[in-house]
Amino acid sequence: MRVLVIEDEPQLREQLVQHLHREGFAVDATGSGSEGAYLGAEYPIDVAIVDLGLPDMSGTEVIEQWRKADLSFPVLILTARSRWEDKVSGLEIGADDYLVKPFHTEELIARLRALVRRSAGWAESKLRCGPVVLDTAAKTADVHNEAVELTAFEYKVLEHLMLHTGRVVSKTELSEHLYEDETDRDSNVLEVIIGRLRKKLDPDRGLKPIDTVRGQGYRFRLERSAAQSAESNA
Amino acid sequence: MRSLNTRVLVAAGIVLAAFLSAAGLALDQAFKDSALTSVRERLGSRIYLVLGTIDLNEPARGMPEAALSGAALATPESGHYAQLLDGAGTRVWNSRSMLGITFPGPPTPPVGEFSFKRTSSSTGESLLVLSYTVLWEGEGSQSSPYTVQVAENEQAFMAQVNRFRRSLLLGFSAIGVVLLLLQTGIFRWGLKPLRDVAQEVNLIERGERSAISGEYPQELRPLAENLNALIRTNESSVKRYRNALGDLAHSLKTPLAVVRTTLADRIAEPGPNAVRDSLDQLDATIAYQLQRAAAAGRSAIGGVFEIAPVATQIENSLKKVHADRHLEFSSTIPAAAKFQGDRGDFMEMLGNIADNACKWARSKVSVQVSFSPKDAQQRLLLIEVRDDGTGMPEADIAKALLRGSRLDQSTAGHGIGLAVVKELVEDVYGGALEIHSSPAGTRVVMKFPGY
Repeated sequence: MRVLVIEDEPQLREQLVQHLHREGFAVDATGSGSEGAYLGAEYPIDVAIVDLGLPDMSGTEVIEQWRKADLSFPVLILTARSRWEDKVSGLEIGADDYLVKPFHTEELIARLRALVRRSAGWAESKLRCGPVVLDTAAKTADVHNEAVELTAFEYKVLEHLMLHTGRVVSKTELSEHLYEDETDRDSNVLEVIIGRLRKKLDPDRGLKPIDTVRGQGYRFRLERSAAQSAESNA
Repeated sequence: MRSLNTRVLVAAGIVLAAFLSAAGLALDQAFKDSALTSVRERLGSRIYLVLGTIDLNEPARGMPEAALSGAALATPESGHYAQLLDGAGTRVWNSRSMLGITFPGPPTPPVGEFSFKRTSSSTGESLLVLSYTVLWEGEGSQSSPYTVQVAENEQAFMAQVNRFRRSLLLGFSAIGVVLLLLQTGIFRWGLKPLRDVAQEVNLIERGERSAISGEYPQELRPLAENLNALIRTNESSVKRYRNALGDLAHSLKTPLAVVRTTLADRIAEPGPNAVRDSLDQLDATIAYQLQRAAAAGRSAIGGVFEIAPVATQIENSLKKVHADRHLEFSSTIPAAAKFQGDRGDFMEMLGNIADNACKWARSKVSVQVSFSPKDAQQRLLLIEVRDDGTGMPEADIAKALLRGSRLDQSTAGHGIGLAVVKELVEDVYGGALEIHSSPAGTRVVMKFPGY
């Protein structure tokens, strides 16, 4: 998951970036509102954390600018202003969640994950596609109720594919959402990971959860289990 | 004398009464003088008549019957009398009308002069008497003075004067009433802009207007403009003040967030931890004091708004923030229900209470707004928030209402919420906050007086 952090306090920003890295996020960070607005518009981010009190351009303006440009990725406001008036106006201009400083890092990360999951149309924290169940809170995967051991990177790839199940995800998109820098991107690595995931999820070759769409990318083939898929919050 | 209307009307009434009385007196005097003059002229011509017809050589023969014009002097008790006195003041002739009546001759005027007096006759009649003395040069060279006195009953004159006075009084009263009515009308019309301003200020007070917008005469324009300026300053100073508090919050809480994140690993350990406890306390104190300081309260100008739209805003926010809880929201809010006070304060109260309800609820949160009792003049505004959670123990409720206490460390958000709400409801708005909790859910009621 790729997250954009706009926070002008350098120390806090640095700590956020470290924590998010540790949790497996790809992170873009800036202290400037206008730069943040640009990054949000140009980079394929999954979720943004925006501080309202920025020096050059207020956080609300940044969010408004994105929403006007039809950018619909979820936005979490991180601010010291705890009045409901501020919360309501922040959420009304298009933010999706609101966290008041000082905050617990775990809470911030849990909310970010929930925002991304919900924006992909998943109401529950467990993603169920046929026999495959991905627990986004515990970061574990089950197939036919049996735990599957995944590395951190394998988990990230599977999560992205399952969040967008049924849709073709290109290699570029996958790498963009998983890596920060273009230099890290190596499509061979992705191919290897996909191969390993297929083996781990489907050792008997009876399920075939991941399709390869030639020239386009990969698609998680299993459909959401109807009872669990709630309405998208778009 | 509190009202301008009464003041001006009383003053105008007094001036009008004084003016009309003075004018009345002058007119009365003038009329009396002219009436008296005409009486005197009549009497004067009668004197000439007497002198012209009496032969003073033989005064006792009196006036010939033929000369008694109008027969007034010939009719007894007609009220018209004439007599002739000689130099010694002895009556030598009197008209027939004076049968059995005498009236004292006034001091004899000098020869050739008139004297006009009021006197009473022997029968008690009030008379106006004109005397005139002539020097009669009779046969021989002796000359003797004679005085002719003609008198007329004063009644006719008084009746005339009284008639005049009556119509004068009637006329002036009518004029006075009409003038006062006119005055009242003019005055009401003149003061209408003042009443309009008062009405507008009233509307602003009830929050139905945000500024004075009417067209006013030159004299009132500065007042209207200054009031508008005052309203604007009032609004902007609350806004400025809150912004300053927001900035203060930002500059206090951001370093605190850095500290918390830096010490995250040490703080995360369970069990007693001095650093974590101090940080929590610091957080709570800052948040509590800042929210408290931001309260605006009920101000004299402005600040009435409809509850329903604000409640909807809060509901929408809560739906976003608690999206994962899949809560069912419901609300019953009369469309006309209004809150008297600051919108930000209201959002703070309802927001915190409803937010808590969302955290505690199993699946349902409801908001209900009502008035109690329904028909009285001074009603209570009741805002009730219910959830279907498992309820809070009494001890926890008491703790939650303590300043800055954090009820549930594991529940996201700020535990200072309830304490701030309690202070807003009770201290700032003079209402009451009630929390009823049972295993079937919690019901929080805010009661505001004066609706």
